[in-house]
Amino acid sequence: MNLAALPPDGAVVEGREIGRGFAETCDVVIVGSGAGGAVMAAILAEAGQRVIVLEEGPHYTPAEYGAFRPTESMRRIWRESGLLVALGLGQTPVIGLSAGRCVGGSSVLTGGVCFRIPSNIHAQWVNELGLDELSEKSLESAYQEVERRIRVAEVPESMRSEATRRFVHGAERLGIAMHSMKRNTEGCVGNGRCNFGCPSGAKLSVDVSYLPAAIARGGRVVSDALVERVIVDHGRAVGVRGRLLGGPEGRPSSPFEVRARAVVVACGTLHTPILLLRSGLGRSTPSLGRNITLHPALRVSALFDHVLDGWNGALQSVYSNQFARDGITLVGVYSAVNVLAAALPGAGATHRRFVAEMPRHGIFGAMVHDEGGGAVRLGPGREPVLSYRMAARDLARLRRSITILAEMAFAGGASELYLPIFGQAPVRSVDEVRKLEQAPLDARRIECIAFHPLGSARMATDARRGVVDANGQSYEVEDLYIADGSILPTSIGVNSQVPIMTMATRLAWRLAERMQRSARGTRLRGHDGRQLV
Amino acid sequence: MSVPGERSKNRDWGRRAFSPARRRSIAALAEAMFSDENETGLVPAPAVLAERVADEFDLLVGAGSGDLRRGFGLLAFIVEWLPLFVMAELSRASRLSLARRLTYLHRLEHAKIGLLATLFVAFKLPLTMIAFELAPELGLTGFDRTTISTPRLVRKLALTDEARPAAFPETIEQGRG
Repeated sequence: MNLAALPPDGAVVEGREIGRGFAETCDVVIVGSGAGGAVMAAILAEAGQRVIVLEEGPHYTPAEYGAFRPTESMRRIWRESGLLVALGLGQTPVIGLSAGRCVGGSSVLTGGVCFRIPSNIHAQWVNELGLDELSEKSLESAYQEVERRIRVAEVPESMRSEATRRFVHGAERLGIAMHSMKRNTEGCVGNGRCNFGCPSGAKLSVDVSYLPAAIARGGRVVSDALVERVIVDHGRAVGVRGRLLGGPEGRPSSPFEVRARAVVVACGTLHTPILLLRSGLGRSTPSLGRNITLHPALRVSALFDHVLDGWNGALQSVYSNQFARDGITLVGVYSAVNVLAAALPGAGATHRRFVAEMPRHGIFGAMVHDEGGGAVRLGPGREPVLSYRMAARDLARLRRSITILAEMAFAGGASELYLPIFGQAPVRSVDEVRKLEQAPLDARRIECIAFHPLGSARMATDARRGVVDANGQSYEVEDLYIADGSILPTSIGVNSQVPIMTMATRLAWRLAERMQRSARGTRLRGHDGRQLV
Repeated sequence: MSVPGERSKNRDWGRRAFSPARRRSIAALAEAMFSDENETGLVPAPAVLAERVADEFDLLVGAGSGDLRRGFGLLAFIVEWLPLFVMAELSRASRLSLARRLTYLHRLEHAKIGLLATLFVAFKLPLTMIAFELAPELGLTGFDRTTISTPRLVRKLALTDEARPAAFPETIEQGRG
């Protein structure tokens, strides 16, 4: 059977409902439907290429996932049910990671925050890493294209929750400049639970922005399709092979194979290296799977005197880059109330007393621009094992950010703080927090989360330092491209959604040109100038 | 063609992670974790809540990979037998009295060894999220929408200057309809 046998109804092909395997050919097969894969799919399909996107996760519509309870969302569209962690090595917190496993990938789970890569990072890539094509100017048109398509706009002040306003007030009193964030939403009413799927369908994640465009131009998107191997023939990627997850209890069932002129791997920072390693690749690119950065983050909960009902407002609406030189970005944040309740200390009646005060709680977060001490390895099963060794500098930054957030909260009128340190009693003064920052602390007591794993298949000028060239093409295998967060050459210190989409846009434009030249009979050349066809 | 609700149900494999015995020990943990106090003393969490939490946690972990299921199986085993080392008590956690189970949880949370605190949190976070996302526990948070997935109804308020909080000039409030 091939996919053409299925009705071209303009929808996602539900792999679990096909009931049998398939064999297919196309111009470009894309593994992964998140921020990188979906962008590649749309642009290549619009350029006339026959595109097939294979997504391991299930397909849910915005109406469906918007109605999920948070833990239901975790169970159905989060990778590892939202219980994914990076194993901390040495003095490193256990870091909880959020990643999507559904059509749309992690873009479905973001807070909608849209940042461009900071200018100094672009400059570092050009001046220190020699990646001239990643200058801010070179990427300007790609940025504009992404921001137009996902409708990036500044969050109006009226969308700030009262809780966020308290922190902003505190920041202003301390001379910390706060700025409105930009987000990719349309019709956001401030439900305050973006990470679990927007109940109003307002977030323009790639499943509602880019993938429909790909499908409209003839692209096929297949859900529940686990790719297990890239097929390599005489040093060239010629397709992929895998299984549909349609068996009892989600076990792999029918096999499929897609042959293509180009293979794009966009499984994300954690799974792209695993797919390549399982395909027997990585021998000539030693950095594959290493140097992962996470942007470790934490949040402080503060008790104020008045009812704030912090759930009424945009999940994220403000940020401060005042401490960018110290590697710290401050971000306004909230979450579903049950998630916030889980972060409050204690058990039993003590915990219930804290929970009952939640209408008076405000939350604010901080994110560290880390050095990168993460690595993924093949695990015993199909999921990778992620380890992370936090640099002493980054641990100090993390602890410093707690103090900064505490200062803001108290300046904003908070009377009591709940710090992200397991077993820590509530604190009532800035002095207490400053003392805590200096006191010895087992790093594993810090409650730490991360949303932006990046850099496991870095873009570099040669194979010793990276995995792909400036066009996203693998140094090891011709016609194999990578287009996700794994190719970012360093940590960027800001949310990675727009940066990944922008990089993918540029790569898709380049690949479309190459494919068209190839179709016209122009011979393709590899990154080393060698003739390919 | 199936309706969205039906389609959504069909997508849940309903795979489980824990044996019935392990599920009972998680329910015992939940019974202490969500207990309360009144004038007569400790009140265990209602059985229906403890069982729902254990059941949904089972499904949550069950939806993950084999690695995750095995990992949590091991953690559940450890947390069940750790009273021997944490409290020098020759008993499984699920067989401790409610008061002793609470003490056990307290000691785990405040343990000097960071990994023990992490073990406590590995259960507390998901169990609490499950417990507090439905009524009646959800009501305790003060969350004022019908369910945690109910979209916020927005109406702009024409606040008078007297009614508007001075520091926070613009307000959007949730409609209670």
